[in-house]
Amino acid sequence: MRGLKPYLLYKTIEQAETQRGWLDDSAANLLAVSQAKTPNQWLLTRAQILSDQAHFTDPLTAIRSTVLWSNVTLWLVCAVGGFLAGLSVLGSANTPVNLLWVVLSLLGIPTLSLLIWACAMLLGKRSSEGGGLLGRFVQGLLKRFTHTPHIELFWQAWHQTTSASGAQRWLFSMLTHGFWLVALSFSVFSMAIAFSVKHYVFLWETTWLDPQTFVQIASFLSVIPAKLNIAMPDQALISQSGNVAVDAWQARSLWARWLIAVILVWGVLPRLFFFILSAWRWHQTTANLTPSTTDAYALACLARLKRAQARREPEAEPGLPDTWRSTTQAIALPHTSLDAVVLGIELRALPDWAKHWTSLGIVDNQSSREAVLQMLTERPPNKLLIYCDALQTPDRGTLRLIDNLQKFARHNQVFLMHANEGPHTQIWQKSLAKMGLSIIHSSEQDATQWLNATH
Amino acid sequence: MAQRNPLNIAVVGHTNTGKTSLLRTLTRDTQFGLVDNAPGTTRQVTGAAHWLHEVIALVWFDTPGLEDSVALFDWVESPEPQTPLASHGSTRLDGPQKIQRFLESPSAHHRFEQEARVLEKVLSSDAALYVIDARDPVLAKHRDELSLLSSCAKPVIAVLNFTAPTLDGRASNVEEWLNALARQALHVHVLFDTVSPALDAERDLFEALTQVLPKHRALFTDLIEQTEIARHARRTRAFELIADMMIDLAAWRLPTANNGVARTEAQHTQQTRARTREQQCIDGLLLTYAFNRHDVLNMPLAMTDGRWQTDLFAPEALREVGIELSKGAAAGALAGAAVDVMTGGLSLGTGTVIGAATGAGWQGLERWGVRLLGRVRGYRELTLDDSILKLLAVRQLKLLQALDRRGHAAITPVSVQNQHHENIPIVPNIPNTPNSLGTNVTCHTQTVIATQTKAFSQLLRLARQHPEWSSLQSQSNTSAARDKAVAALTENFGSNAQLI
Repeated sequence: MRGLKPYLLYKTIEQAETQRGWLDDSAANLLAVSQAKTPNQWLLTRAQILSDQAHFTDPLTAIRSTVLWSNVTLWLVCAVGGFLAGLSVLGSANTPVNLLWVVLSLLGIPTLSLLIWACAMLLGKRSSEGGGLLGRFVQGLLKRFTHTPHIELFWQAWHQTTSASGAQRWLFSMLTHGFWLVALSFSVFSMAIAFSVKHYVFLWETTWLDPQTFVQIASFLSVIPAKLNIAMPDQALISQSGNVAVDAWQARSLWARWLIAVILVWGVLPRLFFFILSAWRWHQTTANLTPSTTDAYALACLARLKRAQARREPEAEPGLPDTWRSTTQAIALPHTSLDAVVLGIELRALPDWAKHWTSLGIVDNQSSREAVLQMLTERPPNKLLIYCDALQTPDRGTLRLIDNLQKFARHNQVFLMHANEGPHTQIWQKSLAKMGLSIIHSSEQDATQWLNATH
Repeated sequence: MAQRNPLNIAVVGHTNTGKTSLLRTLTRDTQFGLVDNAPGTTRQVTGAAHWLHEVIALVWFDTPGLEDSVALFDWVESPEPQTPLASHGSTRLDGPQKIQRFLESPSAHHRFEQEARVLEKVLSSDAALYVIDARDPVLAKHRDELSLLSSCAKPVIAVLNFTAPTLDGRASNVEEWLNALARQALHVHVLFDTVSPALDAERDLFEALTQVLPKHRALFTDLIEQTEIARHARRTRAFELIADMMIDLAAWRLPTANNGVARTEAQHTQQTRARTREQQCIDGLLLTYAFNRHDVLNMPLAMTDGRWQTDLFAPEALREVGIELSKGAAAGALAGAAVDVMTGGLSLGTGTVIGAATGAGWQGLERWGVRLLGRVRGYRELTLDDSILKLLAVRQLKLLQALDRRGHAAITPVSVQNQHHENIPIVPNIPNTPNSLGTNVTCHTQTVIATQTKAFSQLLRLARQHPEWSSLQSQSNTSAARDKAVAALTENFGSNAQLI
């Protein structure tokens, strides 16, 4: 997939998404990566699918056909205009045809505009403004006479597509050369008809120029036609035709041929050449249009496409969450048991006030865990207060440890330090509630009260 | 699509340290996995492809958090084989063998099922990233996690997350962590805040990977290059989007009859459409940076659901970014609007008129006609005041700055409500709280600079003379001259970019 239309759709989608956010593209992305091979093609295919989805394709086709038909209309106008111009410069057959006058009338403006065009092309960028002029004209027409949705998106897309690649100037060159080509061809055609069915005599006139001047001009204009093996009037005939027409078949036919040959060679052929050149350049620039894969929009799109292509599913089903047994069991306490015991889990230190009670210290690594469990087994307490830091995430290991510890005491409480600071307090609450444990929220007073109370 | 054996990198760590967030930021995908401020959010191993151009160059594997490493390490290190082990014989097992023994045991399917998934992935990967919440103290369980990882005999890089100041003000313990890592013979580390990564965090990460996987140096160099090219492309695009909006709004002239009612109405239209245009620019920026409207951004100006909280035309909007309202706008009843006598294009310079007449064809003439008619009727024109234009630029440049520095690890805004910080906007406002005036000022000057250059004002003045450039004025606003102005403004933002 390449060329103007896919690229234009890509640019339109780019405009639409940049202005309005991503279109719903999950299906399109999958389809695009499965259909196309290279990133460029992914982008174009994605745009094509999305355009169809978002109903961009039909309006674009409608615009293209509108533009095509307006061109056809303009060609018709040019054809009619050229035809009439050819007839009108010859005038009525009663008066002789002024050769130089006809040449000037038919070739003057076209040649001048051709020179201006050539200068503009040579001077470079400014000519894209000319394209803009005609482009705006076309857009104005479209706005007036059609109710195309998304016209502004198409317009921006079109402008970006064609002005950056330089295609715009070649398109409008092609169009203008085409119009002149049609007009001049029809002038020649109408003249050929007129020469076939009417009687014209030819002369050249001057008031103050040297007669030799016209001989030189006519000879100069004849050089190329002569090379093309078209019989041209010789110098004698040219001289004879000055101011008074020579009404002989030979002279008439030579001059008629000369006139047609001059318009063809100096008017039609250059336009034909430039028409073909522009058409070729236009074709060349648009045929190879393909999205850059390094601009930010393309990168963002490609990321989505690649994700669609390589979306990975989890490698296995998730495991089951841990379950806790709620333990409010009656533990038979031996006479050696302690009343209130405190310990901390994964802390740097226990707070000072906690040291008024029997402390089992801090539990973190395996050896401290084993030691504490050993101590609790030997002398199970009546009350166990477990200090935890709410700033840490309650993980499975910690919860399992708490669950293990609480089995040794008759009454258990968890003291949450920093309960009002960290974002994890709620998770602590939820997890501990599942174990049937209640919580003291960072309140020294509550903790002291609980530890002192007789249960 | 060639897929030549991509490198596999396992992303592991204690639970809730931001492994999935790291992957979201690395892959610029806000939708990857599940992120929540809770343990055990990720319960499965999921791969995320990282592409080098058209090839999947490496796959990051998101793994469940390690939660029970103290007990597991004890299990792994226990001398008594917990399963009958004929195959391993009675000789002393090395690290990977011990891990293998564990993976083959029933415990790997029950109590340590999550941990087994992680270790299995590490064994089959080329390297592992050990993600650390740098705010956590170094605990025995972390050391055991590191020991388990080193038993896997794979290169490990420590990635310290949450190194930037955060909403809850918990300081990070980077030094303590580095010490602890060194004790475990882990010397390669990267500071990578997944929420607001440093500009070169990704480069650092790839360079660290180069250190532990020197064989793949070329790959990582290419990845770094690709990252930087993409970053540059995004910035250029963002500047373009902002410049385009600036030209649209600066060029815009809204004609109004010269009476109070009509003017108020026109001003209402002006404000509504200017807001819409600003929003369009914001959406474009978010899209360019692969964010959604609901993604939370960390920046000094408050934004909710992809909209600025302060209205464009509210006086405090200007104060927020430190712009003084120009006298004309402040004095008039129409906030943010400048009123010109409709001149019929005569004051716009002959060149412009001719340009409008020729360049825009009969449409230009038509528009000129409308303007002449307006002049005869004594119409006025509303334009956006300079200060509003400046505000527009500054706000969007700030957004760009935030996007550029923002990881794709979204924070759910819920936590803000939980902590009863009603006065703190949904967007964490850290570096720029009202108390920290110092940071406030520097933050502003950096972005304002881009709007204080001579070129910036000149370009806006130029745009003011070309109403036909505004997309709000006409749909056919494109032209080579406008493109040139947008490019120049983009360039102006770009050349001041290092200040941002």
